[in-house]
Amino acid sequence: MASDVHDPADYVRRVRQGTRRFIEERLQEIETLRGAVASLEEEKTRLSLELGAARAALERASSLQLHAANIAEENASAFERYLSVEQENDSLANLYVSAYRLHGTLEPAEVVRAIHEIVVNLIGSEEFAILEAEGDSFRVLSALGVDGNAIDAAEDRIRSVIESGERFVADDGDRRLDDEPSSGPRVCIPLLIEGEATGAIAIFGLLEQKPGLERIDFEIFDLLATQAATALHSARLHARHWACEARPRR
Amino acid sequence: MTERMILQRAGSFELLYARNGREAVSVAREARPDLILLDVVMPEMGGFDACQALRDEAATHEIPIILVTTRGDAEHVETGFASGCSDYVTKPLNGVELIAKIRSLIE
Repeated sequence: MASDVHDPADYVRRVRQGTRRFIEERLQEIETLRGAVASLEEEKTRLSLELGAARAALERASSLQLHAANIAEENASAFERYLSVEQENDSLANLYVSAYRLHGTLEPAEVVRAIHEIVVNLIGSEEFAILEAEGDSFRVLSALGVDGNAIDAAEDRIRSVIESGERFVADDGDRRLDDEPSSGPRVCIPLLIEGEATGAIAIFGLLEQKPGLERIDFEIFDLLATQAATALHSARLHARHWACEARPRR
Repeated sequence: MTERMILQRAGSFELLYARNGREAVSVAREARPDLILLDVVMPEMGGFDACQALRDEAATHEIPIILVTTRGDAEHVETGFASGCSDYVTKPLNGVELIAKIRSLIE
């Protein structure tokens, strides 16, 4: 044992062996670390590929989101167009019904009834008078919800509409009669034959649930102005013709 | 008459008419329609009374009834529903709304 300790050759051999072992172990470690580095490189490449794919998916999702927002916007705009077409359709239906009602009869009383119905059912008023010019004055053909006094009080306004052939709409035409005592018609429509007024419709108030006049109301006013008097005139001519036909001939 | 025109224009309904509430009850009893449209203001028998009479009749008590009126206030609507109507439309008439209500009650 003592000889081992003191044998320099043995000592050198042992040191060499130890050094070799140490070097081998380090080399092995280096090899292991190289493997780990390679594996991490691989992992990095894989993760980078995954990141690329995720980024692409994110971009695709954001583009889809944009597309969906565009579609939603288009949808909203199409719905608005649909509502507007529906409204237009309803307006046209009302005009069609009005025109059909006015010209669907050759009975003068029925024409007046048709005008009456159009004002109640399609314009939405229960305070109005249908008037016919008679020389310098006018006579009431039909009235609802207004008495002679209210009509007399509105005589100047009605006469001026008949004389001018121009429609009158009060600045506060949307106001209902209930809001305050009527001081005159809110709307006065001349009934025209070839540009000459033969009468008028004076509207003193709107139904409570009707908030105000709408575009379609003005279209119906125009239709009444141009068609109602013609329908009434035609019906009267027809009635007169039949009365002559029915009279016994000498 | 205006309602009639609106319904005729819609095209898919077969229509029967009555000139007053009493006639409406009698026509409905005979024909048993799918739906009855009643104006509140009618000669002889008004819409509320006609509605009540239709509800009291075995032959007509299940037929949907829509009342048409110029008054949209709560009290009036309440009277309408108390008389047994299924729905209510106020004037001025909106053709689209009227047809939609009719279809929803028929279908």
